[in-house]
Amino acid sequence: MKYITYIFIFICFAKSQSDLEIQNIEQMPLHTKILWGENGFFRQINFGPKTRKDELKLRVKMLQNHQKLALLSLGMLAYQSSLGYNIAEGDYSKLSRHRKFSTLTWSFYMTSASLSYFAPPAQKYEKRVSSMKIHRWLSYIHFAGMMAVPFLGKNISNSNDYNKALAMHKNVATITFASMSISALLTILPY
Amino acid sequence: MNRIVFVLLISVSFSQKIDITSSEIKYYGNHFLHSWIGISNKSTTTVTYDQIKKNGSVILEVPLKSFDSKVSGRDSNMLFYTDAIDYPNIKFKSSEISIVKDSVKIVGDLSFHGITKSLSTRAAINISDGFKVEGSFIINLSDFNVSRPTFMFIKIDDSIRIEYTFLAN
Repeated sequence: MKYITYIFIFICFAKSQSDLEIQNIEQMPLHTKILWGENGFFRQINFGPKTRKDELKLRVKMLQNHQKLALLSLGMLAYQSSLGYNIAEGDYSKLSRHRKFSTLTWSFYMTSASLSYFAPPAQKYEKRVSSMKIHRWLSYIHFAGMMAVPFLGKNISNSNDYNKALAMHKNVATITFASMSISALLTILPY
Repeated sequence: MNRIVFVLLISVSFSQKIDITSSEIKYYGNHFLHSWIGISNKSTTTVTYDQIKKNGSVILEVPLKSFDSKVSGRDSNMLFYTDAIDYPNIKFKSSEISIVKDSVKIVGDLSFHGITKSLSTRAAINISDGFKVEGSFIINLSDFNVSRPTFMFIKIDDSIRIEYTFLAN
């Protein structure tokens, strides 16, 4: 009787464990695999919530904040773009504000990006292309852009070719802003 | 005694199990920015009907993880908000079934997110292309103590429309 009870408990446990399985785990993005995969970095250093339920709770919280900060960053980036265009047209009175505001915009953006990239894994992944998958692909473009833009901005005053350096900063900033705007718009698509 | 056994045998023989060949359960979610549909074809359904007594029973179970809304992130969120780890299935058990002409009234208990609520739905029966039963009803997430996800600072709608289609031999 004792053994039957043990077997029953084992079956129940095994069943509840299978319910926790992540669907299509092989489709998990690389950065999530590196951080939260079976042998991921956070698993190795024993960092993060103890249960899958708490992991999902943390994930939802992080993504909710990512959404709010990303929206704020997009607004700030739009303002930065308008300041940048004014400066490029010769209104240098806005240079100091453009510089000061760039740190704030960059910080908000990076916090927002971190909240998304470092979030624990979802409960389900898929092979097919969806609006959210394109949203993630575009994030690689605007993330790279946001990494480069401050250096390219600083490079304008140091460069021997002012026009070339300005064009480079402007173009990368425009691509960054455009990809971020499309990325934001994609989130409101149903599929 | 023999008479009782005979009556029992007759009633058993008329209470037949209906073989469900396929099923589709859809939920319609709404947010002021967009609407979406989650579909599951993986319900486990047992239907019996007694032609003499004109009643029967429906027992249905559908795993929450089987719903596909075409965006895995949204499905993942749904599994989180519905606490699918603790309550992995939606269950329905009928208490009363009555067929009136080409429709069937089904009354029963719907268990979702650990809460059971009484539910009444009317389904249309279509026998032109096999045996098809389809209907719909609306549930409120708040009735089942499910907190609603927020997108762009605004929560999704509380009411969720459920549509079901069953095909039987």
